[in-house]
Amino acid sequence: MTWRRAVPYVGATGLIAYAVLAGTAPLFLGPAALSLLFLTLYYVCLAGAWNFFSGFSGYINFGFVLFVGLGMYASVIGFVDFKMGLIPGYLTGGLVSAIVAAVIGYPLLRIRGAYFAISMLALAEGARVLISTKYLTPLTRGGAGMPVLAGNLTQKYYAIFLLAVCIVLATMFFARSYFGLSLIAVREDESAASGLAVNTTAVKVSAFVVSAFFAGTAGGIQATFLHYIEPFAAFDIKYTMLSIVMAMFGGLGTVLGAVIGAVTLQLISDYVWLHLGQANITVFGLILVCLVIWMPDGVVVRLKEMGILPKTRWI
Amino acid sequence: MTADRPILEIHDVRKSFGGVHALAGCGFSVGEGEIVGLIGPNGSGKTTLFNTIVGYLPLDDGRILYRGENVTGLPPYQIARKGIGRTFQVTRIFPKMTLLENVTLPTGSADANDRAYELLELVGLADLQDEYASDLSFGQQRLLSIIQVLMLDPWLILLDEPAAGVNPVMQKKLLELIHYLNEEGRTFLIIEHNMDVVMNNCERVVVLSMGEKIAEGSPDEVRRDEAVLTAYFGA
Ligand SMILES: Nc1ncnc2c1ncn2[C@@H]1O[C@H](COP(=O)(O)OP(=O)(O)OP(=O)(O)O)[C@@H](O)[C@H]1O
Ligand SMILES: [Mg+2]
Repeated sequence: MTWRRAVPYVGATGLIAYAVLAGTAPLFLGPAALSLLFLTLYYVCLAGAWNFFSGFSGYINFGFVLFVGLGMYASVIGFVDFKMGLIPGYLTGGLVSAIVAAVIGYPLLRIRGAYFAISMLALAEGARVLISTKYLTPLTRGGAGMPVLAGNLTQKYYAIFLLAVCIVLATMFFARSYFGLSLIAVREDESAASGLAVNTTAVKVSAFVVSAFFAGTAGGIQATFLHYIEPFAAFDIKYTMLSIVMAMFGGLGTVLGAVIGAVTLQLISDYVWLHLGQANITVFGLILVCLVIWMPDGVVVRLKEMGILPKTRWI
Repeated sequence: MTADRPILEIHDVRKSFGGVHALAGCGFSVGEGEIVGLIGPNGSGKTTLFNTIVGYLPLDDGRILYRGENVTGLPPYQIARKGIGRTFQVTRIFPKMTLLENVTLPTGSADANDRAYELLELVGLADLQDEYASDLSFGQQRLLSIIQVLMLDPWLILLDEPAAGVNPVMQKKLLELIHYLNEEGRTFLIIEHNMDVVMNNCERVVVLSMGEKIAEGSPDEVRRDEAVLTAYFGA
């Protein structure tokens, strides 16, 4: 069938068009529309960062927001208390999250499946509580939160756009590399992979650290966009859930899945919100259930299995 | 290193699962370049022995030496990198990876080398190289798992019932491949229930029963051994 062969080309064209339009958006979009696009790209970053580790390894990270929230706090403290510039501040967010991931990754990633998921969930909750305790209040201002003024909308927009592009490209190189291949093998059969010379622990921890770095950087950018952070907003489980849902919808362990998932679901949820008001959560949920039944592994994986997209790792 | 130093030395290894003594003080060695058969009744500890050699299971006691070096307690990936490869009794492949990815992974690179294509061709899977391994039949998956291990470029190859579930034509090809690799100087330790395969292809046979070595020798010697007959057919 000819339409099948057209899908990859139409898809690639659409993606490039989207990237070009998004890259030039500040030239022709007003602040309201630009803010919406900012949010979409923010979710491309989050879903992409989540997918980088969990999508490829199969270790479902239910405490992903830990890295987003830590990144928010680290970069806001950088801006407010250390008078950092925009880029150093954002990178501080990423670095702090990456360091925490390296420290907790080694013990946590030795336990499989549900235990890893539950430990991460607990750690994310624990971090939120810890941030509010009196011991850390001098640094974090506790429940009162921290206002932040850094950069203008265009700068923040370009920051999130560049990060999204970096994440997609990094995922593409990663997927092509031995590093990515061995993480996929871990997902498929971890102990068999170790018998075939894969240093599974090193591979898992490294990808976990990269994922946390991306999440923390995105968190920092989002914090400046919101102008204000407090523990509940920074460690909102919504960020974890949306990242998982978007990555799963688009295709776990694929390069384009997170982009497709974030853009599509963001559009659907905006549309549903606009036209259905309060009923939106229910309708959104139902749409998701249908999609997951029809394509349990997500759009990109389904297209690969149907032979419409080639079964290459870097798509 | 002397020429006749064994490639694998197993010294008095012990492994229990609760009250089950899967390995109850078992020891033997395998010489460089040999094809050794490992036989024994069901549950005699053959697979468990493989699992301990490649680092999947920690030993309770005993030592395993590879080329004179103590490899007891090393993690599986390090043992694999030293040149020991093993296949599983129950086939394990990576289902949602293409055949080419499956055979490329063990080389420690993401780019398939000539040997990957050669081996896929040899077992008749070349046409399917870009399909997912989950699409293969069980017999094909078994062949894939065997060439996957060969991609490690191993010098000691442990095969757990390689011929089970493989059709006679492929079985013959597989044995040819084993002998070809053996000519290159590679050593094989093969668990096999099919006695014809063992008798015709192994120079030496080790027999396990209840976690202990009860006999060792040429196929003919072993076939006539009292203890072996008792283990297999009862007193
Ligand atoms: N992971 C495990 N946990 C508990 N018991 C085990 C485990 N692995 C093996 N055993 C037990 O150890 C004994 C030896 O098993 P093993 O699989 O090594 O036998 P085998 O010689 O390979 O048998 P077969 O010819 O049927 O494959 C059996 O009694 C088995 O039930
Ligand atoms: Mg067995």
